Amino acid sequence: MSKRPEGFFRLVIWELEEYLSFPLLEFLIFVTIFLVLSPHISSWEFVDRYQDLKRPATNLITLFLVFIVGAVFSRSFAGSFAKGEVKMLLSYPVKRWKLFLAKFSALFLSLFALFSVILAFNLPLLALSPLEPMFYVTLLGVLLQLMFVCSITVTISLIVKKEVIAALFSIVLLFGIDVTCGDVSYLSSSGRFDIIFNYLNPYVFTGTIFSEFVNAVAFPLVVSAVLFALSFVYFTYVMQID
Amino acid sequence: MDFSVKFGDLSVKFGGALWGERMMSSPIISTSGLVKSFGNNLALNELELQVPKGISGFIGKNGAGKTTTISILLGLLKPNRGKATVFGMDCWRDSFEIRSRVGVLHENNAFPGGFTGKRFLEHVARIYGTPQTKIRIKESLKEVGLSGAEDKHIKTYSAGMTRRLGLAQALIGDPEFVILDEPTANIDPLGRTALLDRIKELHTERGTSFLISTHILSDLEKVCSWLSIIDSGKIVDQGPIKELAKKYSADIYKIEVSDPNLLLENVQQLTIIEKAWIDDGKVYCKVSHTNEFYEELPRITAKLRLQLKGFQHIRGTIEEIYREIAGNE
Repeated sequence: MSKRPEGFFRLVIWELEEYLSFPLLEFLIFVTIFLVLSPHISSWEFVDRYQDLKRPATNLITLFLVFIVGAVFSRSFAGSFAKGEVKMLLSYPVKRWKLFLAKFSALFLSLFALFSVILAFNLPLLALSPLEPMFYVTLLGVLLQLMFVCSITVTISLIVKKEVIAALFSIVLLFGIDVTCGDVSYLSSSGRFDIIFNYLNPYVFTGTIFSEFVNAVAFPLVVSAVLFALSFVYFTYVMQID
Repeated sequence: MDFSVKFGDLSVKFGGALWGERMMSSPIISTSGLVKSFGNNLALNELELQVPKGISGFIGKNGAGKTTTISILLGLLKPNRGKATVFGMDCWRDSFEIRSRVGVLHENNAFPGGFTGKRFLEHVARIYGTPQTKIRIKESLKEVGLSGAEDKHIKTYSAGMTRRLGLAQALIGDPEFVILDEPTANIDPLGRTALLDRIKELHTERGTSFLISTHILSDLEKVCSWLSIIDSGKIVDQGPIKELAKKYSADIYKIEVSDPNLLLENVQQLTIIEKAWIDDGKVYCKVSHTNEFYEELPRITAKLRLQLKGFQHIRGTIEEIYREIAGNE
């Protein structure tokens, strides 16, 4: 009977089983409860309910996402280097690019799905429809922030190869950028989300102009793409696994 | 000892050198001028490793470069200079193809603690594309003595059980060549014997070749036919164990007689005896000229009227070879 090796999807399943287990799931449940309880209905006006939808998303983007993604990605990348798991996996017939993409995509997609579900809990509480466009605007904000944080954490993880240092460095760097750049700049996570949300909010005119919106979308996209490409090339063609 | 037999004009040579050449006709591993450094630390210095088909040992002190060599062979590290091939394929460029045919047990296991042993092996088997996965997993677990523990989480395994699981994952892809780094570490004596027997069986039944790196030299003694010795990033010697034993270990004889002290006194006076001592009531003689010793010993025992109860030529052990080589370096 001939051999039929499984590559990418087997690695994705491996990754999900290993890294989306205790204690991450428990932590996510805590975040869910917190975020579900955090919004309150200001009034029955649509405008206010949109702002109530924005509040948990802002909490998620500026705080929890950074911690969760920083911890999970540095555990999966830097942690698996330190433990020797990458060495073990790359001793099997596994291509480096497949391992990198499997690790990245498994965690990225599952975390995005989890964050989307967490935010979706707010819809019935705010008496908003699941098809409400502003809900998808908040998801866009989450997606951009997730890409930004993932790419930074993965890059740092590949450089330092130590879980705790990678997590701390990523979190401190991201909060440092936020603190330094303030709440209104597209360089900070809250500033970016504000700009995107306000520009696309049809009910409130905040004076946000198109170029600011483009910057707020383009900045995390470009940074993520560049860091992702560099990390991918480094991991696939250059990196020494010792 | 080499000797030749003539059939008319045809001369056939028998002996270690020819055997070694025959073994090396198609080496599995071949490196030439391999250099690897980490910063200022030179890990491999012009390494010339040759490993033939069969069961081979790879020994050296801690930090000699064994693990670095294994990592280069698997394409995990890129050498600074030199060439390394496995099955004739370049270790860095063709590492995927090499790894498809090789099973590995690293010295430090990093198995996912949250997985059960069975689930872990299932993942590995599917990565290798092993047919009839479930049957193979069951067989593998049985082979390494982990039947009954397959549904326990790996984090609950003892060190020995984890090592056994490591062996199972190295063998589950039915590889042509298996690299085992300290395979018997933390395994009890019975388990070690069973494992070494299984290695021999796999070699005999399926033709699987092995490269075993270990500090337990007596384990190598039981299974290996080839030995490569590394020190400070260089191969200090390699070849069939029989040849190395002849080359490095002295001829030692164990003699059991009615009066060992009397024999000792007399043999010590012979010039062909480098060293003689008594251990456990037996006389041990380290001899420089074997043929002369064969003539002298019966003469002495007859002259002293000693009853010769036992006589044994002790072959050079891997430990002796290693001590001789590593001690000289």
